[in-house]
Amino acid sequence: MTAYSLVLIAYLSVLFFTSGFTSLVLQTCNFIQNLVNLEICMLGIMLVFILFSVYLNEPTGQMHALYTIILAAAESCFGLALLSILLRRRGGIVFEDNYTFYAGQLA
Amino acid sequence: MMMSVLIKRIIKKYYKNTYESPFMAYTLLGKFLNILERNPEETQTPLNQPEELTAFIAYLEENDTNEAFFLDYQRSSAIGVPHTESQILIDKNNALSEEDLLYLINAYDYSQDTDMLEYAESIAFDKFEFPWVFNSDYIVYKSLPTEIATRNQTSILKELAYTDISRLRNSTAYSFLLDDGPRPHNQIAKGRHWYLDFLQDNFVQVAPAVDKQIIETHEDMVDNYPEPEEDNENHMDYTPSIFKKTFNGLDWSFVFLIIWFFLLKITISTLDAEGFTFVYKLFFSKYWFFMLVVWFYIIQIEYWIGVLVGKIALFDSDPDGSEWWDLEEYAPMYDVFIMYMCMFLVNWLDVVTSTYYRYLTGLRTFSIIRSIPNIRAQLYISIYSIMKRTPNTYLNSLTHSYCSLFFVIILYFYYATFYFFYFILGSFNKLYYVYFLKATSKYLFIKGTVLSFYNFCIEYYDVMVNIEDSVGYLFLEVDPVTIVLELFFLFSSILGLLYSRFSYIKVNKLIDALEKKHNPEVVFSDPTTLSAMYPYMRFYLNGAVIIEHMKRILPIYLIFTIIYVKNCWGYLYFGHIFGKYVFTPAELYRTDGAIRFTSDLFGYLKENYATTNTKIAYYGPQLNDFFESSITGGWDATSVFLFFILKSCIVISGFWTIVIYYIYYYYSLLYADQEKNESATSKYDTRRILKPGYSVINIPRPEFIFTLVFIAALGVFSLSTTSVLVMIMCLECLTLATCYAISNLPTVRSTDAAVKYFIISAIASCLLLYGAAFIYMSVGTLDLIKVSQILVFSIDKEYSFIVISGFLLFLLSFFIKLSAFPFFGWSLDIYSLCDIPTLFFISVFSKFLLIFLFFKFFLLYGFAVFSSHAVATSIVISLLSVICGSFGVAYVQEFRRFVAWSSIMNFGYILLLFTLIYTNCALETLVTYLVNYLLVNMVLFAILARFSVVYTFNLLTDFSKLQLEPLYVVYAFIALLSLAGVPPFLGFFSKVFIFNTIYVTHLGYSFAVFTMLLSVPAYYGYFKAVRNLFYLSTPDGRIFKAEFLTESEQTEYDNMTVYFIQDPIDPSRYLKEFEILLANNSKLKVFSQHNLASLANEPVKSYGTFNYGFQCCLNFFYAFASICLTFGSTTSSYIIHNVFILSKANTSKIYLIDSYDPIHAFTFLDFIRDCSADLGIFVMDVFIVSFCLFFCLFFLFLVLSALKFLIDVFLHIFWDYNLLSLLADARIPYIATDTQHSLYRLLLRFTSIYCDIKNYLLKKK
Repeated sequence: MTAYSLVLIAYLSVLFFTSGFTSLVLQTCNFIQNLVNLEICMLGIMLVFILFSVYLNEPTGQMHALYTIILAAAESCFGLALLSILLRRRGGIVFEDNYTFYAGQLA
Repeated sequence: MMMSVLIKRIIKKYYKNTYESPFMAYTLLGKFLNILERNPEETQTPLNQPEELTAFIAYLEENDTNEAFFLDYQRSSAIGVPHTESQILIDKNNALSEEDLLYLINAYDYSQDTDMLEYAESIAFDKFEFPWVFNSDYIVYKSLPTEIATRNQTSILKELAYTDISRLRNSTAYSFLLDDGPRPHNQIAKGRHWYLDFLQDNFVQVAPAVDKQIIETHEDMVDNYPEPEEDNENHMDYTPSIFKKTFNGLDWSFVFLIIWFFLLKITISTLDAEGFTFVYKLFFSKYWFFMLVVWFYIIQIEYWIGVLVGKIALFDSDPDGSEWWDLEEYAPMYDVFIMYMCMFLVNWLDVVTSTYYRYLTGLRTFSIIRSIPNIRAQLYISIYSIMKRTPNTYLNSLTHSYCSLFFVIILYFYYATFYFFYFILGSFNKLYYVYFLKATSKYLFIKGTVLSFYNFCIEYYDVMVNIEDSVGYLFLEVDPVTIVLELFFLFSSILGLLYSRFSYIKVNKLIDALEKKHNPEVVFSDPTTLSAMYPYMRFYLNGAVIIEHMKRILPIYLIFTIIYVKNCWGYLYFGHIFGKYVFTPAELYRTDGAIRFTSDLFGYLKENYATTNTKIAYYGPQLNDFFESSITGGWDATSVFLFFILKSCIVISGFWTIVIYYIYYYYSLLYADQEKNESATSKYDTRRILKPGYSVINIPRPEFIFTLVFIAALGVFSLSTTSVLVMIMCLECLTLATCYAISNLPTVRSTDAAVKYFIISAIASCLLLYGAAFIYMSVGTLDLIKVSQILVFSIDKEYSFIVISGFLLFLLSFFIKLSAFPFFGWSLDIYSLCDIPTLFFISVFSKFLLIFLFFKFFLLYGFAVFSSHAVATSIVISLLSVICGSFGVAYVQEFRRFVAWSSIMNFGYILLLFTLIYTNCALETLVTYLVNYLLVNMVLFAILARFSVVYTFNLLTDFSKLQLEPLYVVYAFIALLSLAGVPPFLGFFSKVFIFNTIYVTHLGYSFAVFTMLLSVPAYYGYFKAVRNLFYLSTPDGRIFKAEFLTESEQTEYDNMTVYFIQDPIDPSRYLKEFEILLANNSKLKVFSQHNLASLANEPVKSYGTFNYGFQCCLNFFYAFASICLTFGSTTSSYIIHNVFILSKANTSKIYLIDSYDPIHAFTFLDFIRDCSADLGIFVMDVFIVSFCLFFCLFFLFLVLSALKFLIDVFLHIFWDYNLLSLLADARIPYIATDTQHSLYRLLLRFTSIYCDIKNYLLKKK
């Protein structure tokens, strides 16, 4: 690996994070897509940690990357559990409209 | 070169730090003296400077034995530092050695003589091809060749000592020297603290022996160290050498891993809705289930084999030529291997147990979903192991400790996720309760393992340093007392869980027996049969079981509170006893803060505090005056006390969450039979929770509630780490617990709300993590102590864009989670879908935890460096959220949204206090505000949790239903008015204190008035809610008095439901009376809380007394709390506020912050000092009088409630005591026979005038 590939990974991480984050904020119709977007965000962050641990020559950054992954795993685990509840209670996970899905108005 | 400028700079920067970091001032003064000697005509003598500086110079002159100083001193005088270009030109022809040139360059860098510096650099490059790159701003040492490093290492380090720590920390040479250079082994093991120790050994403690020893061992190491291979590459290639070594042969396996990861991603992402339902169907058919499990594990095995192959290939391409079976060389690798095998076996064990349970119970398990994080954890463990596979000795020495810590931490978090998963599972069928218990026992087992691991590691200091270096101080708040308490907690909780397991089995057997007796052919898991046998489950559903739960949960919770109370005080009481044997980072950051005590309140702390002062410093590093002036370094007894109060607030609110859940579930059980009358309930009635199929769900499950609160609080209380990332993980515990609490109700809407909260929290945690990544980018570490150290030392400089943006991302995510102004939209939707206890959990408990976290994150660890940025953003945001919240409170009609808006407004004020935290009394005001807010909400939500079971509680007009039990009207009246902040009540005082706090600062009087005026629109909303307490309001806006109804008015009530409620003592007594009443008065719809028909056949007297006792306890508490609110308001807030301010003013130092006007602080302090004696006497008088009053009322109420209880029981036993017979002629729809309702009648009399006027106006229209 050279400095060129480092820069490439940096661009890749920024790309991952921005794409994942924007789609996480904007996309609310499909819950699985939300989970995937969250994972992609976490991937970008993990890449940043690994990249700079290599660049700054610190072994702790890779450990931080591992922490990030465990955190993402926990979140996805919980998200999948929520997904199963959604399937049971709602019968599907795709929602027609963002607004009707989230506007919790009583009466 | 202006000498006076240099002197001023030294004095300005390091004059205050002479005692804190003497080596900095020492080094600078060394330079200073050098230059002084050579240019006596330019200088001003140092005698002009303040006394301490001259004393310090004298101190320097006395200690002649310090080699480090005098070597350089003599050398520099021998060379003679040139001051013109001509001199350099002359020197260029002479033979300057490398060290001399290095020294020269550094000296120029210090004198900020840029022209000369560049010139010297050019000379250095020409002559020696130095691998140094000098910038005008900071020095970056890149790729220092090992030859120079080995030869000149001590001299280089001495040179490095002359630079700032921030500069040093930014340089890669620092890490290079630590990682690659040949040094003594113990120094390697100490890792990053090595440099600090080096500096302290050489410069602070004046220990030449240590210096000599280092040099000798260094020479030994030079002899033994293998000669590095000569690189043919250019020295200007800046890529670090370790990087090359590690990643030489790794490319294809890295690519392989990334490809695998993307395959996983793609397989998940291709599962859209239809695809997922397809998989879902497969998943729940028998054979495909096993196939899928096998498929998953085949993938795992494949991947595992692939990793092994990759490892072997890597070993082959290793430059050292060692083979992969060379065990001694690569022993850590095999640790990883064994660990991996363990994980694999654990997976298989899980599958086996789950299939076993599946056959046992006939239920489906979620093994596949469960195994996904498992697989990925393994994946990234192996990535890590490959990345760590390197011949470097430093990393190899680290690998052991890393791997063992990984093993523990991953398992810890892994089972924490299991925990939540079983929460969800347990909500579907009670047989998953077994799984829950299993997971709990595993969790506790792992917790015990972690603790024992820590105990083991205390003995091995070096290992612990490594771990703490990487993770942050993960287990910081541990001393022997904590360990004993934690072990006690562990064993007691295991015992409690075993007990609950057995009791569960017992109850289960009972149900089975009942089921066989009455309906022998049903399948157990069918929900309809559950509803069929629901009447028989009454046996274990009633209060006796709740008491059982209480019995075994409460001790655990008490121990839990004791532990964390102790953690707060532990270092005060026990730290000085055991402190010598337990490692604390305070040893690294020595201080000598002399705290004086004048107040008698902390008299017992006097003796211990002087000895434990270094222990207290562990809350934050005391580095210089900046920290001491903030609350971080201050940490006098008042601050510790306030921090303790903040913590105990959280504990109390958690405890109260449990209590509210108890109340809610208890009453939902009592009124469960009424479910069969679905016609009378509205569409969104909370009683619809108790559907036949789901009736098992809302059985009180105190374990779940307990663990919910426990995990949330544990997550945030385990914030004793100094690592940002562990903090974020702890925060995730909180968000996941909240997510579960929201999805508590078995409705679609609650699930939607949970999904929405999940997405919001995911966004916020992404922002947090990205901010952490930014900080890691720019600073190079995530340990908060080090980060704050670096940032403080570089305080004069402008921060880079990256650091600022990282911290702003932190702020942003906190604002999202606290639902501050621009991000409050989610809270309205989610609050409106919760039940009442969950509403308390979200709006009070979790927000308190977040405030605690905010507090630690931004204030304790010196992130106040960014106060100018943080203040600018958060003042605006807090004011806007106050405006927004107050208008929302005025506007809103629904109760839950009302709570949301009011919490937005209140937390706006709290954020405003955070911005002013560095002024004198802001911390006290903050704590007072939080305590008051907590008390008010405790009372309000306890009332509503009890009522929302029986009645719908969606609109603000539903407050009028409280009139049916008039005593609660009084409590709610007090609570709402104190929430609003009307003068005699509690909220008023917090507003007064906020006013005072703002008035003291430079923001001034007008701003204080402005902030108080912002909350004026909210009064309309609060009074609207209060008005509903006294009037019945019809949908068309007319209001009625509840007391007297004329005949014409009663005809209007024909279509309305009139509610009728009693104490649930013994409902069967009222049976006949109800029937008579219904027969006589056909227009009146009586809506009792019990289904009369079902109750007629039931023997219900068995639990009557218990119910009444419970009710009495509740009543007692409400009265207690309301008395607290009214009479205790003045005392409690004055005690918390003024006494602390007084003690602080007497003890602590004068606070000076650049961003605030110091004049106000001075005047306020002087004022306080003048008035302190008088005010102290006044406060003590108020305290004594009000305490007496409070105690008298308390005793009176105790006697009265006991009397009432005795009289009622007496009447119940000896006479056929019928309340309704007394009220046969009464036309009022509620019962007002008791003396305790007289207060309510009094209030009604005052408010009846308004009602008359309103009705008169309506009639006129």
